[in-house]
Amino acid sequence: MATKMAERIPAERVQVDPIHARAREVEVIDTDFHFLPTWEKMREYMPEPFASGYKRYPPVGSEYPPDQAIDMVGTGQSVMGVAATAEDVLRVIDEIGVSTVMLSPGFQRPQSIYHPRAISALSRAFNDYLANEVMPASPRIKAEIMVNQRVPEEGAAEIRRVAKNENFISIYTEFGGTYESIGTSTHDPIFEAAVEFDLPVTIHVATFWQQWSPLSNGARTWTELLGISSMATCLAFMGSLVMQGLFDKFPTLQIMVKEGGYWWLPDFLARADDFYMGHPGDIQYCERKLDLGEKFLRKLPSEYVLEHFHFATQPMCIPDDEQKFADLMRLSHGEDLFCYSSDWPHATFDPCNWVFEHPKVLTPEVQQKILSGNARKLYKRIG
Amino acid sequence: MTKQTPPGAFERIPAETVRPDPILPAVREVEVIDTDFHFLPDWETMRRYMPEPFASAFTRFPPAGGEYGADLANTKSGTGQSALGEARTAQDVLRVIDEIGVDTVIISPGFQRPQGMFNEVAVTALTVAYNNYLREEVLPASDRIKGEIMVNQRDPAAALAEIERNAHDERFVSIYTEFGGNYTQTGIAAYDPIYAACEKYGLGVTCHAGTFWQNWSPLSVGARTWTELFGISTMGTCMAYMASMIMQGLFDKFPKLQILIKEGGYWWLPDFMLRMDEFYLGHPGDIQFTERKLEAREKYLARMPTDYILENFRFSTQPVILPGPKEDLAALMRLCHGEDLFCYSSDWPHQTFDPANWVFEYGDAVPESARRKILSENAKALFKRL
Repeated sequence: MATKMAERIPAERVQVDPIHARAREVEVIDTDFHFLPTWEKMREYMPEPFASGYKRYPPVGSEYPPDQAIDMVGTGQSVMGVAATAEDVLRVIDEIGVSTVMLSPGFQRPQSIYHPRAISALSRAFNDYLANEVMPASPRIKAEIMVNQRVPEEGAAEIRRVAKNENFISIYTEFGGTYESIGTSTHDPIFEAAVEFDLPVTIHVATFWQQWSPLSNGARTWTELLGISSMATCLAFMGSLVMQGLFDKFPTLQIMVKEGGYWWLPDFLARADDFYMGHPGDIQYCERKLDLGEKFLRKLPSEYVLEHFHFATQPMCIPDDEQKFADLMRLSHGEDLFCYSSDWPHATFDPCNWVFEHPKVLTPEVQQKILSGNARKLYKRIG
Repeated sequence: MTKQTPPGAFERIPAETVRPDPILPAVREVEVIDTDFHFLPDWETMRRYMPEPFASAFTRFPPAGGEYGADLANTKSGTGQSALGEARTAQDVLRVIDEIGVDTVIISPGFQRPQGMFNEVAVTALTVAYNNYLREEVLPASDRIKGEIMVNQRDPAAALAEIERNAHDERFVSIYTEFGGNYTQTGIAAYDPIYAACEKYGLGVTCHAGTFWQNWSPLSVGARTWTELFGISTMGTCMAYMASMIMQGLFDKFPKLQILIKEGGYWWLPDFMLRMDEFYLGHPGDIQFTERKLEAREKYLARMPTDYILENFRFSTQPVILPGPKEDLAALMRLCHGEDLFCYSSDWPHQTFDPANWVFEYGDAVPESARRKILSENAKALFKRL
């Protein structure tokens, strides 16, 4: 969000117009754009008995819609509109100045569907719809493979089923307090399949604190939930990814973090290293380390972050003081780790204007890296 | 060191225990207030002060929820609570603070997650015993020892009674509460009687790391290592507590309240501040439905979330984690308002103990004026009774 904090009006909608003129002159890759097919379309592609039985998108765990917080009816998933078809996507990305877009599933917390096989059925339907009707429409549309992360073997099978289609450029998973941290070895089937096809894995915010847990019972507001619990549960997932030896087992694996924040990186990098150096004795009991017969991590925790992680920028929170912005960019390694994302159509939508509005902090070279260069390095299939 | 020892980005040996010696001479030349030093009376002493039936029946410190011993991780036996020793009496405290170069110490209860005991009334019984022991045998020994009132935060009425019973004793400078995934955030309105009393008596409120992710929750089931639990979950749950205090209007109701955060980290503050302001401005509509705002018939917070952090919070420094380049430390100090918000703490006797040496070792990143503030002045501004 570019406007200075001090000048903003509470609950004001982000305006799509005007898009900065520079956005249309350079390549802009949007790494997080939510695509929400109609449910009827999903039923067309879904296997039985789900196609007949699931007449609407099913209830899922961990709901807290922001409608009271933004004074709008609905789940907050469609504040700027709904993109349900390739035509919708192309119209919107022209409007917001994006050259190439990566579609993420726009469903509400699909991993929370009560029936685990229904998650697999929906993943299959979503991926087939993309492959058959959406991605063929334009080379500007790329997508993430939707998978069932609760049953990792089924998630891995879905990756192997569709990964030969080069328009799928990564794998979509979610983080949050209602799901087990994805860094556990339980999830290795998914990572194995990802590495097999050299596909990065996204972890995207989904649920808040585990429902009915003390931290959930003590929360009241959207800022506490999407604003803060997403930072914290993201830290938990990253902690598990880094500390349990995942990258020693899969040294080529790349992770993209979406909507968990990143200005906490200075603390995470320093703290994970410090605690690891002081308390490294329990690393050897992690499943992967037992399998490898190794006692310690091969690198410092911060080194894995710098080598294996990228961060989608939305919601970008820019300090009013440019010096602080510059410091945060440096301390968080933003030049190399950040990839622009809009999060269209959510209330916290970020047009890419901010990238051009701070030339002292973000030189043209850095702008290029954030808008497309880093994403091109990470997503080798963008071509 | 084996071949698998992490490479030399750090000039440290894994699992090495921090040595209190030598304390830099500069530390002994200035006033040093240690805002977090764990005092662990022996259980027999507690039983002497505890009411019945607990005194007879609780023959040892009871099992408490949220356990994960550091012993696997630091390769030492025990719970990690006594890596450098144990202070059980006033004499122990005075001996140690002389050794580590501290002038005045604020002692915190050193028990393992006392709020996690199964018997809720036993928590209250222990708080009575601990506070009485402090008043009768520990605080009278020296002006250099100050205490925190231990309270049962699971039972706000019992906590209030304990504050009322002890607040007249000026040697208690604050009350001690814990944060963690096993407890509900202390920012909710249910705790208002406690906050009203603290504001009335000019007592600070400590919010100290207690438990990790809620036991058996997915994040707990997915964690394996001490770094994930003590290192990272404390950051996460600390954020949950601070957010509840700020977003639920606590400081609009009690504007003079001062919270001291201990062991939840703070280098994440730049993100926390920006993100709170950003989300608040974008999604302020649900503030009016929080209990305090309904009561006050107000729609929004009186100020921006960041303003409350700067005015109502302070952070004790341990474990201070110093980035390699000094310019990074200078930037972090600036971004986190460290000069004004940080209060030195040692966390003696835990494995991650910090002698005050670091305050003097970073030149311009922690200049002379900041040193005084961090070592004593910020603590005096926070704890009115010091």
